[in-house]
Amino acid sequence: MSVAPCRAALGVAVTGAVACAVLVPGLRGQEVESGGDGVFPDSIVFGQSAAFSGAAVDLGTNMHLGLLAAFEEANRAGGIHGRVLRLVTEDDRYEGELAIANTRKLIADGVFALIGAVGTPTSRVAWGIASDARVPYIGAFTGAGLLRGPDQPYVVNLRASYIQETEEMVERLTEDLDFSKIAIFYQDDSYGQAGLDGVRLALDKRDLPLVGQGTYVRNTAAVKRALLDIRESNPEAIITIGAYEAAARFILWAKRLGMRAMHLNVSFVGSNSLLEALGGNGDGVVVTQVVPFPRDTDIPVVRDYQAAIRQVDPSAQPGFVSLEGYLAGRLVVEALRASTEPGGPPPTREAFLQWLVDAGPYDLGGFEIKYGPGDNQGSDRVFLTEIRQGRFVPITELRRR
Amino acid sequence: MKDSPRTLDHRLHSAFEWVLKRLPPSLGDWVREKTGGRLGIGTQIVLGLGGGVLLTVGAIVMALVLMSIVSARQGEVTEVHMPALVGAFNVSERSAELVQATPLLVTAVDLPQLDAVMMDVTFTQSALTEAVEAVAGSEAGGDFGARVVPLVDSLNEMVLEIDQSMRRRMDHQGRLAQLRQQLDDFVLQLQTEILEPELDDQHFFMYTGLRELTDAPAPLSQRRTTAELDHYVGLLNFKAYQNEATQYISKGLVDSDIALLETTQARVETALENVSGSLEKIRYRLRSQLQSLVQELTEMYGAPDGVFATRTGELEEIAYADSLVGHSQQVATELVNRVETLVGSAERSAESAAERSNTLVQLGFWSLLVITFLTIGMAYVAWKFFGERLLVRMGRLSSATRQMSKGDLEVQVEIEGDDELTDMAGALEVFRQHAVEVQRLNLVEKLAAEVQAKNDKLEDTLENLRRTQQQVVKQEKLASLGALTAGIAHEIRNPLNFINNFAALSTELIDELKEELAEAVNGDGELDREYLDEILGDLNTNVVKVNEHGQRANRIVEGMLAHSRDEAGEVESIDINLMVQEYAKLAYHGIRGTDSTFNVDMIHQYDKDAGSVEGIARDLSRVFLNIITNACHATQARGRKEAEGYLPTVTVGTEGHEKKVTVTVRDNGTGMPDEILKKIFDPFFTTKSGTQGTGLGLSISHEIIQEHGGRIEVETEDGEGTEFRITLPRKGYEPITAGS
Repeated sequence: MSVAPCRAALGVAVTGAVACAVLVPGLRGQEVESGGDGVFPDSIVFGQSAAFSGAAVDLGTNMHLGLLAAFEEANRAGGIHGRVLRLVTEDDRYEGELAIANTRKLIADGVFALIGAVGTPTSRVAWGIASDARVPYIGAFTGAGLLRGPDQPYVVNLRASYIQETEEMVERLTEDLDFSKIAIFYQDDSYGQAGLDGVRLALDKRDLPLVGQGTYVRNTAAVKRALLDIRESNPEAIITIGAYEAAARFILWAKRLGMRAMHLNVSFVGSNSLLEALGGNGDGVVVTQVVPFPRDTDIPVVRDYQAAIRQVDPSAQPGFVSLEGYLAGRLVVEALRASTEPGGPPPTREAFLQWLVDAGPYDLGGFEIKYGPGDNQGSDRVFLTEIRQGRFVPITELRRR
Repeated sequence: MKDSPRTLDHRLHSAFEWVLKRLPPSLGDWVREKTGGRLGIGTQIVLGLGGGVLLTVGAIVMALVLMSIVSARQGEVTEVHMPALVGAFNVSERSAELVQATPLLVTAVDLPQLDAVMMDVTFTQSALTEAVEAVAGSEAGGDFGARVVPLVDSLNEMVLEIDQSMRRRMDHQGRLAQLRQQLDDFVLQLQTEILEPELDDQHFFMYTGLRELTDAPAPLSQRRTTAELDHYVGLLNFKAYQNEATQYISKGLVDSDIALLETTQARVETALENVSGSLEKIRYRLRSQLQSLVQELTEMYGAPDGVFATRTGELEEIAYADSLVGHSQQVATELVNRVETLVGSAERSAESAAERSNTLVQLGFWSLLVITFLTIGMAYVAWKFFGERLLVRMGRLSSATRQMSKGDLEVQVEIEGDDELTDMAGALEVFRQHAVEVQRLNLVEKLAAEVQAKNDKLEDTLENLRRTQQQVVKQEKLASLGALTAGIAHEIRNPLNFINNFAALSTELIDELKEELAEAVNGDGELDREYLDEILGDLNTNVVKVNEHGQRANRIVEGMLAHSRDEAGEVESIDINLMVQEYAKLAYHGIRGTDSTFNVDMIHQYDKDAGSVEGIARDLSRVFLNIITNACHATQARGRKEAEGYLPTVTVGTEGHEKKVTVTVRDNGTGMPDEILKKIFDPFFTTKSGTQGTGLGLSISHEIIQEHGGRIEVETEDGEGTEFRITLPRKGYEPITAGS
């Protein structure tokens, strides 16, 4: 800053300089300052900003359940070489603005990483804040492509993308059933848009048209006008990219109107909640999953998961969302254990992320993951499930009803 | 130059007297009493030193006076002008800072930032006030206080005003943020909870006749009644107008001037009227709920703490603060201008004070320089007139005294002038004349005594020398005896051998004689007379031989004794050839006795007519022994240097003449360089090392030959050989004159 011409004469210059310095206004950074790396002598703290109220409350609570199960399981086994894992949560009600505030708060309070966020509109704004503060952003419950860029080293995705889920759907529909009239029902936000993009991509690949589409307002169940729009095109299958409540209402009303189209949902819908919302009328509804079937005890990690959630909540039922939360937690536990040594220096974010990149294919107890340079998505697997007789069953191919 | 000192001294003294005459009588008398009425050396020194001291004291006093004046001027600069200048600079700096800082107040975006800026500004304000007070209260303050203080006060008030305004503005901003959130929540709630589901339901119903999943479809006649349509249209209108209203309210939150805000306000009111209008068509079930929501919205924008009032307040505060800042900038600029003027005048007075003191320093410098040169000049003049003259005169007196002390009493001392030196010169002259007289009286007596003393001393010395000489000669005799011993031992051995051999032979002859006698007694009793005579004859010959050789040995021993005898020898006739031959042999064997490797080809060339000379055998033999031994030593020395091809030769010869006999000893030894040749007859000169020689041999030889009326000549060539020629006169002939 420049002050009136400093006449350098005798002591005036000195006193002038002091006054000049005093006048410089304090810099007020707009970036989030990290309050610490969340590593303490006896613990490592993680932060979760997710929906613990509102329409997506089941997703947030189940992700939390799975994470907590994995952390407590690890803590019972001595933590990370003596440091227990702790999870701090903030409710963002599935709203982007709250997610921003929560993320800043958690980083300012000092967390090792952010984990288990729920939703595309929340994570699309939160990951950038975390990356700017060099804080890992792990296992967000979303398959949106905007978290899967090659230049997002601080983002660690566990699950397959929406594009992979919709690709699987279209592939099965066209190959198993030879369908060609496919419509889409999606939420009018970035999540819905991501699903729409995936479906369009898959259809374009096969030179098929998108016969119908309809949208609904997020956080409402106002699906009927969309249903009327879609009904016009008389589709053979309807891919829904939405929340469970809206999806269930849509399916029920479609059935009520006598439509015979097959309903397919992406994993984000929240399978158990959807099943519940359909209230016994869900048979034939297909949901793609990005984690194994949660009751498939042939898979070691699923057995661990079932035991772990019951330790947290004896009444807890296995579900896809909590399994995904559990897998994210397990990933963190295994990576932290592998990237540090007993009695060695405390874990660092950099070492943690580097281990993931360097580890190569890694078997998380029957669930294989693999990261690499420019590849921040651990799993590419998409699993098919269908509601039969009021419950989900894993299937390998679609069949006509 | 020679006349000038006299003239000068005279003039000086005349001048002194002239001054004395013109002094007041009492002072003149006092000076006369102190100086003796003349310009003495003391007076001259007092005058010279006193003048120098007076000048130096004058210079110091002048320097002190100038320094105190300069110091006073500097003090004025330091105590009055510099603080004024520094203070003015301070005020200028602070004013400029305040001008810079004030606008920062209105850029603060939140309360903490405002507090921070305000703290800075307050700091600058208090610094400015302090600086102003410092200048106003100072000596050079003048009307500064009256010109500047009101401006500073006014600035301070304005800063406080701006701060207050900013705080009010921030209150408004806080309230607006609250309202914005409230509005967002309101819209979200309205849309997602009421309007969207209701519109969806209504739309679907009008198409399908279904409201609930379990309902049976309503007949077409019930689906599209006026009431259903009104409800649907009402909802659509409500949604549209409500959207418009909330959008304008949002716009009102950020409208940047009051006129714009008023337009927006009108639009919101219109939109809200339309919203209320659309309510009429909506079913009663929803209408009351929506009405209360509309009321909420109306309050949100129209209440005294609503969007418009708050935003208006904020805009007013912004305008107020901006105008304050503008005004404060004007005042501050005026302040800076006034202070600049002050700085300028302070600088000028400081400069002029500094210039004045500078001029004084210059004056002092040049004055001291002039005084210094003046002192040097005076010292030079004093030196020329007093010192140098004094030295010249003292030098003259001193040299005269020195000359006299060396005995030159003929020196005339002339010292002109009228001072102590003149007195001393006079006294010296008197002293000189006395000394000349005394000198004459004492000279003869003193000389006689001195001569007597020296004669006595010389006699003593002569006696000592004689004694010493005798002693030395005796030592030399003993030394040459030593050299002879080996040769003599060799010489004696020969006659002894003969004696022993003849004695042994005689014993055999006696045994034979005894045998013959025994044979005669025991045998036939007949003596062989012939045989006996033969034996006895042989015995007789043997005894004669023994006697002869005994005599010879005796002679040798006697010769040796004679050689070393101390008393004067007797003059006798000496066979020269015999003596030379004998001592040549002795010399040779003498050296062989101490060095068995020594060898020399001794060539004898004796003149049969050499005959004899009258002389002391003991002395002459010493001469020959000495010279031949020297010759042998010379060949020995050369032999050591040139081992191969060198044939050491010593030729000893005699030559008989009618009046004299010459003995020549020539060797092919080392020879001598000229510098040694010159010294060989000097006593105690020797080229031999250690105990080999006494250095007296040739000296004594020379003396002996001279005593015999002969002479010794030497010819030598360095490295080639030496020839000694000893010439002795025959009996009855006059001595041979010395000459080489």
